[in-house]
Amino acid sequence: MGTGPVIKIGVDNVDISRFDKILLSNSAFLNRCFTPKEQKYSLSKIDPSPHFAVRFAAKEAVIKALSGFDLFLEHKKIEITNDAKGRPFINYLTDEPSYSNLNTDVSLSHSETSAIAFVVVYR
Amino acid sequence: MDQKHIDTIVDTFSDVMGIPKIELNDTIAYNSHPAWDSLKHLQLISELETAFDIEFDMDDVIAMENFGLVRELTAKYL
Repeated sequence: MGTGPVIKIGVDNVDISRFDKILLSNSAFLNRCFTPKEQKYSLSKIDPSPHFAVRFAAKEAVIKALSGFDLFLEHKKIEITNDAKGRPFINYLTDEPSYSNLNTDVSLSHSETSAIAFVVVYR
Repeated sequence: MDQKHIDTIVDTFSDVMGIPKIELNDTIAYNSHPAWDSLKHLQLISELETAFDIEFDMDDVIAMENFGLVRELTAKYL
């Protein structure tokens, strides 16, 4: 009997208010957590806070899912971008072979006050 | 590590976590104290990097599991 894929999940939610102007003016924090592409995208919005918050939640959710495979990537090496249809997807910014055979799906949502991300990683 | 460096670490930790300096002790721990979650952890790291003009290795960022280790591991860079 064959074996199916190994599936790991992660979820995280963040209060959007925590990504206030003070935090978003801290370039050291932004550069440690977010890629240049993520910063450019989020800072192009009238209110960047929910965009940063939901991306941070996604990175945390990815880290939780990856831990199921005994893997770890720091936040700035997990990039959340959108495909041509606007759907979010995850880029692993690493050459480590352990990540080349991973498939990752992510779903993002936010209300006025809270951002949430759900991630499935499988191989 | 001289007293000035220790004071900067204490001030930075207290400001980021919102914990009064008088309440700080080495056993305050990441994901155990309610004020110290992953977002606060990364804020702390970036504030310390800015204050001392240093850049932590990721292994040290992960290893900073309590306030005592924050002091000890930051001292490696000073």
